[in-house]
Amino acid sequence: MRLAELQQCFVASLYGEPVGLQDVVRSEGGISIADRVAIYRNNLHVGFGKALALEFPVIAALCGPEFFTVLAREFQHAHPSVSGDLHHIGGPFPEYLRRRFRDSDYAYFADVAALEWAREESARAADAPPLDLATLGIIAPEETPALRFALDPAVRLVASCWPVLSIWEAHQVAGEAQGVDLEAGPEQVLVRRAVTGPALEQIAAADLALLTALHRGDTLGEAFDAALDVDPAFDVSAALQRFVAYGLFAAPLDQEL
Amino acid sequence: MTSRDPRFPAQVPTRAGIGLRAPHHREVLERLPDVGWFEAHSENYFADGGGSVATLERVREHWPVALHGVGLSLGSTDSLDREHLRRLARLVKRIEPWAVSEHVCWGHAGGRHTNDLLPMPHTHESLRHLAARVGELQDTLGRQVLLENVSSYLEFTGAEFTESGYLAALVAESGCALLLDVNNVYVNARNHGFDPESWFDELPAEAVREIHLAGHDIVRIGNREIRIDTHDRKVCEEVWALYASARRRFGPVPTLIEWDAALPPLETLVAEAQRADATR
Repeated sequence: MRLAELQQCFVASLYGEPVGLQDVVRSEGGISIADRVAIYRNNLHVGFGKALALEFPVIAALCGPEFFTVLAREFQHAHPSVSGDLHHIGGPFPEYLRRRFRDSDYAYFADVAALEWAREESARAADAPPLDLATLGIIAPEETPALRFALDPAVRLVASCWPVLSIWEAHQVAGEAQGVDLEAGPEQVLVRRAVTGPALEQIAAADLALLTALHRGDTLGEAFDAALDVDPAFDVSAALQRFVAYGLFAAPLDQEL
Repeated sequence: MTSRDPRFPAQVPTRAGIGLRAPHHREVLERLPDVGWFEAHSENYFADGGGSVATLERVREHWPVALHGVGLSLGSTDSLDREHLRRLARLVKRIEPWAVSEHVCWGHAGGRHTNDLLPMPHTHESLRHLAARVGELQDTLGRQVLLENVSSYLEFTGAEFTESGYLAALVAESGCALLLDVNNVYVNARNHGFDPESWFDELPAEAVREIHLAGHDIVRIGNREIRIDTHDRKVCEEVWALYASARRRFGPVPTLIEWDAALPPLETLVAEAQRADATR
């Protein structure tokens, strides 16, 4: 059998397809071919499940080990790893959970997973020098509304109709996770890079509108309007000062300073 | 431990090292354990930025570092993952490792990855394929790479080489060097019934540039046993004995203690590395 065909057969068998391997694998040592292949199939599932649990520790805790194992295997069947770097497997997981648990008591899992994945992405994003307040200060005030800013590559925004950050925080202390009232209402979360790693912080709906607008490339003026639409009393300049101090702005776009 | 200029050309370690694992990152930098070098799994430092790669750069300021790939899957007939290769080349440039290694294995077909180190069928066809891929890797990185023998729980039919004969042919055809995993030799010797000393006889001794040591598990299937390469415990006595033989054959090449699952305190790894240094 040619190498390419052998590899196709073997991977198909590991992924549970009915492929005979009696011509591919040598009989030896009183252990059946099925038992030998089962060792690799077990590695495939256990390795994937462990990597997924490392990326989504809160989902793993919410599920418990037995259910998480089942869920990871279902997910793996629907979304086999497509890279030699296992760090990529979690990308489709939030949307998978959204479809899997739609209209159920676990519908909030998808947003918790989205927050965990946002944190992973933030941790791995490129380093970029932040724009400092002094740079912002030299921009003429009359030009400010026309400016567009690139947000720091490590910034992620997560909005949920569930209290996702409270759920996440309840699982950060070792031991028994504290109960969170799922009816506590929506939470918007800013994920950014702090000195010690990714930092998660609840932000107001108007903050979210402001940052979302800037993230999609709107001008500062348009972003201010988006925030004021959500909350007419929103203090846009205070919000801007705070986000610049966080280093959320990487560089001005299409504007010579 | 003296601090090194990270831009200083990488020196080959003279004492045993240990694998760098994320749960030990902080402690390694705070305590600077007395080991000869660190090995990092390349893929764990593929991020564009952030804390992991910054940590590895700080480790590199104190010790020689080797980059050990587990995901390039050189033996797969699917096309080589250019993005994976690009990230590896970027990391090599950033870290300046004393060695870059990968495995004699394959791991995906038709775009589906197993993220495992699957054994090669030991045929002329697979050798030509693997040697060409190793050549491509060496050309991309502009340096010789080390290829490591893997543990296996089955063998494919149609073998035209023994495993170590295959490694020797790979060295001859691609110009690569070898990373000899003594635990994997022992595991395979027990699983497939061969004499590890005869296995060593077929290797080109001058090509062996690094040795790996690790612990493995024994699983019962019916009334038979099979050894599974788990990297979750100490090196067993039989493997230490085989390591002493390998040192006599291949000289004092840099040795690494590998431990991935059920990670023990750092001191346990340091003690294993010291035992490797004391083994003659």
